Amino acid sequence: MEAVAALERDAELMLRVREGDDTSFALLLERHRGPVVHFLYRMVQNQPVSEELAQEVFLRVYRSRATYEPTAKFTTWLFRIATHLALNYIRDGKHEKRQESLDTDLPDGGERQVADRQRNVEQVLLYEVKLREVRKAIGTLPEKQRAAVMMHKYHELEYTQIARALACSESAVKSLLFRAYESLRARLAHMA
Amino acid sequence: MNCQLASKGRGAVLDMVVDYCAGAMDAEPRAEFERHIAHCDECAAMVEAQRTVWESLDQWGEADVPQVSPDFDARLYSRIAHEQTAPAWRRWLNSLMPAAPRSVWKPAISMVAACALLAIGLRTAGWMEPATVHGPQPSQSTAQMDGGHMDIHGDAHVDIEQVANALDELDLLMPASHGTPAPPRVM
Repeated sequence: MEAVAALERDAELMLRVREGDDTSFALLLERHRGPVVHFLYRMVQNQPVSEELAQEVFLRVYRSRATYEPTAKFTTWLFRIATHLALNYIRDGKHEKRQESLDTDLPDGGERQVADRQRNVEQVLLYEVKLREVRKAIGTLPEKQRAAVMMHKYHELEYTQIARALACSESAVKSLLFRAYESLRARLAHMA
Repeated sequence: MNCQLASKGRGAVLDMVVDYCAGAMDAEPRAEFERHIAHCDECAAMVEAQRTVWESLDQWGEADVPQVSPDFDARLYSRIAHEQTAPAWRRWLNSLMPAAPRSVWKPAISMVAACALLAIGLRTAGWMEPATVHGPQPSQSTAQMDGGHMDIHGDAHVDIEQVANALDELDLLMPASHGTPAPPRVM
């Protein structure tokens, strides 16, 4: 029910953007900026690049406002654009040189957030090691499998939405996810 | 191996395992699946393995993803404003195509330039006679035309991957077949 309401709200906002209401665009940006940047960050593992790609996503949304028709969930369309840009970027091979190290300070100079600041040093180190392994395991997945897992696990998109974002069938998505989780099982089994 | 779900096929069982661990199953099938894994060691093992993956991925939660830069919106609005004040010729050029970024135009332009060079080269060499060029015969390779007078594997190089990328980009912006909004146009 909540999802339906969200769909209507996004579509309604986009329709207002089509009518020239830039405030509605700002609301859409506010709602989806974080998820889009985070999705792209997990895909390319580099913050400046993820933000640059996210800028391009929203730029394309804005450019398309005049011809927008709410024929699909807004988020599906958004993730389709984001996935396409991320896959192109990865296929260009630029990401390999620019993947952020976990040891690298964030661009704003801030420390990487750790969920529980009450952890002791040993726990933090263990946490960092596990996080590094998860990132590495995800980073080694073929790009389409990676995108499918990111949308499935972290953004809880339905199979139909992932299929549209990846321009493939639902059964192809299930196959991608199956293969991806198989690889991750093998790589992360020791973390049980 | 006495898995009662085996008849559904391995793929279907794995889908159930993934959906179960993702919490994406409705109450009734979930209860049914739980009754099944209570007696099926094979499926229980798969669930355990998938649960390990699922929980491992939780390590990379929102807390470990960098915050969006505070100036993100300002940069975006600046780009939008810049586009809207672009020279008329550029806006006109963009209006001819969907919102294709430079990454689309660049390979497209390269492709057109390569084709133009190829055409000029063939004309100069006297290989291409527009009035006498015929379509490929059924027995001929599509890479050859008119008795082998046209060979795309010759001097000019057309990067197939660039063409494919350009087509992908255009497909992205053509929503009809995927239920996405209509092709965007630059204002």
